[in-house]
Amino acid sequence: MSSFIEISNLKFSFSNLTKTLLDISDLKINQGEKIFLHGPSGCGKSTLLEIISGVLNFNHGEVMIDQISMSKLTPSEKDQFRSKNIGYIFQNFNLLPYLNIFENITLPLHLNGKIKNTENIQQDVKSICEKLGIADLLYQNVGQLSVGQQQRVAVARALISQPKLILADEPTSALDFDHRDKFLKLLFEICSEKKITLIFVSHDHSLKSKFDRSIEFNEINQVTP
Amino acid sequence: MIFLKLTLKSMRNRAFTTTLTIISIALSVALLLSVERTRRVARDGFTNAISQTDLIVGARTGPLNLILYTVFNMGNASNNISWKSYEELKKNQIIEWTIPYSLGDSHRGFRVIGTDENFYQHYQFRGDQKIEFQMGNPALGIWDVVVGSQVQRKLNYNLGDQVIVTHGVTKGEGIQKHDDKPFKITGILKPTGTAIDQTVYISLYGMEAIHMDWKNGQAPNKASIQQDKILKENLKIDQITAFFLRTKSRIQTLSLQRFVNEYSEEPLMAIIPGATLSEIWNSLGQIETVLQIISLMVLAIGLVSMLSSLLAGLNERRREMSILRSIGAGPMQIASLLVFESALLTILGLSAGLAFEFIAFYFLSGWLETTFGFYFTGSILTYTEVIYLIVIFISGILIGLIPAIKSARSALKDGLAIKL
Repeated sequence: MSSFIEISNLKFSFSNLTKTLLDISDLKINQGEKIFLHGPSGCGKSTLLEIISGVLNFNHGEVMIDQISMSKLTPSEKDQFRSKNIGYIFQNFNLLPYLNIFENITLPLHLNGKIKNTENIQQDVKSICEKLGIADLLYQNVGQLSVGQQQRVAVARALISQPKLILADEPTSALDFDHRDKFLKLLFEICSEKKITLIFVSHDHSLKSKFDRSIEFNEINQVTP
Repeated sequence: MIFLKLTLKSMRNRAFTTTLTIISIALSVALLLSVERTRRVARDGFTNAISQTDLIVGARTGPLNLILYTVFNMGNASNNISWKSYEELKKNQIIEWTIPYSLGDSHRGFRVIGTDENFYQHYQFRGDQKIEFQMGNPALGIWDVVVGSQVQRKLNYNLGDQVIVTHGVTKGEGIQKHDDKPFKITGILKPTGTAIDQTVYISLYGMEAIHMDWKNGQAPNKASIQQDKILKENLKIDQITAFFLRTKSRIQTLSLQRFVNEYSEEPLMAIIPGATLSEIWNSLGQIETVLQIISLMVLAIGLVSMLSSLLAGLNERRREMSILRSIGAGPMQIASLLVFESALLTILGLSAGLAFEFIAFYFLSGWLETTFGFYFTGSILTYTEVIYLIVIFISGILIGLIPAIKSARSALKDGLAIKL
C-alpha cells in the first residue's frame, strides 16, 4: 500500500532568494497518521504546509497526495483540490466576524460548490458541532465566543467538507493549557473516527507524546539554517 | 447567492464606511444631475419663452430688438405699424390667428401691453402652455386690466383695484400719469415663469382711450373727455406696435416672412421667434459652455472621490479576502466578489443620488418657479444624463477591478500565513 503523502527530492526557494529553503529527499506519511511536526520558528514548517496544500509552487522534486501529483495540477485545479481534500486550522482561527457560526462553518461548502441539499448540511453541521460541543451556539455571533470556542468553530469549518487531510499550523498557541489538552483530545477523536490524516505543526515539545509519530523538522530538511 | 449574502453581511459589518461611500457617490450624482438640469432649464427657459408663434411682425428694426421688446419686456420699439397694414395682412388666407401688441406705457415699473382677446386664446409658451387665470377674466372692456402674477404679488393687488397707467416706460413713478382715466383689475394671471408675470395687460381700446386727446406727445390740458363718456364705437385704433401670427401650415411661414419683409405699403419686418431665440442663445453660448464644464468637473471629482472611498473600503478587506482564499475561494471568486461589491455600492449610490435629486426638485420646484422663474419641463432624465450615469456605473465596476486584480495576485502570496 502506498503512502498518503509522498515527498521526494523536494527543493524549494522563493524566486527572489537564491538560498534554498527546503530540501527534503524523502518523507512518507500514511493515511490516518497523526504527525507532530516540530521545529523552531522560521525554519520553514509553514512553508512546507503551504507546499503540501498547493498554495506555493515548488521548483524541484515531487509531492504526491492521495496519488495525485501536485506538480501536474494547474493553479485552479490546486485550488479545487485544496478545498475538497484539505482542511486548514490556523493559529488565528480566521473566522469572518460578520457571519454567524453556522455561516462560518458552511462557507467552504458554498465556495467550493460542494453544496448539497440544505437539510443534509444542517445535519452535517449539527453532528460535527455536537461532537465539538458548540451545537447550541450555531446562530451566535463569532465575536461573542471565547477563544476556545472560536478554535472549535475553526475545526468544524475545517471538517465540514470532509477532508482527507488536516493541516494545523500552531493551532494551540492561542489556547491555555487546559483548553489545549481538551482541544487535542477532541481533534484526535474526530481524526480517528473519520480516518483523517493530521499534520500538526508546533514548536511546543510537550505535545509530542500524544501523537502517532513525531518528525523533527531539521532532521528531514537538509538545508542547514 | 453566497456572493450577495457575503457582500451584504460584510457591508453591514462596515456600515459606517459603506454609508459614507454611498453618500459620497450619491452626492456627486445629485450634484451632477442638478447642474445638468440647471443648464437645461436655463436654455429652455430662454428658448421656450414663446412657442407656437410662427412670426413676430413689427416695424423695421433689428431682429434682436423686436424679440426683446415683444417677448422679454426689454428695450423699446423704434416705430409702430399702422392698423391698416395689420388688417390687410390679417386677411391673408394662410394665417390662423394673430395677436396684436401695443406698447409704450407702464404701471409702477411694470410694462403695460394693449392687446385683444386673441392673446388670452392663443398665446403659448414652453410648448403648449397657455395663459391661465388665477382669478377673473380677460381685459376686454375699455377700462379692464389684467395683471401678471408678480405684479399682483409685488403690488398686492386684488380684483376690482384701481390701476393708473403711466405714460412712457419708466421705473418707479412716472412723470405723466393717465390719472384722469383709472383702470379696474378684472383678472390676475397664473405664474408662467416668463415676462408675462411682470406685465400689465389692457385692451387695445383702453390703450387708445388713454391717449385719445393727446397731441404731439403732450397730455391734454383740460376739457378732456370724461371717462364714462368714452365708448368703444367712438374709438378708432390707428396703430399697434407689433403682432404675433400663426400660419395654418408651417411650410408657408418662410414665404409669408418674405412677403411681410417686402410689404410695399409700410416698412415691416417679420422674424421667426424660435430661430431668433436659438441664435441669441448660441451667441450667449458661453453660459452653456461654462455650465457644461462645471458638469464635467463635477463628474470628474465625483469619480475620483468614488475611487478613493471604494479603494479605501476594499483595502480594509484584504484580511477578509485572505481568509476566504484560505478556505477554498479561487482567485476568480475573490475578484468577482470585489467587483460585485463596488458595482453594488455604485448602484446604491446612483439610486440614492437620483432619488435625492428628484425629491429635492420635487419639493423645491414650486419655490424655484415662483422665486427664480425656473420651470422644469421635458423628460426627467435626458440622454446626456443617462450617458453620465452609465459612465459612473462602468467606472464603479472598473474601480472594483483594481483591487480585484491586486488581491487575486497577492492573496496567493499572503496565502495561508495570515498575520494579524
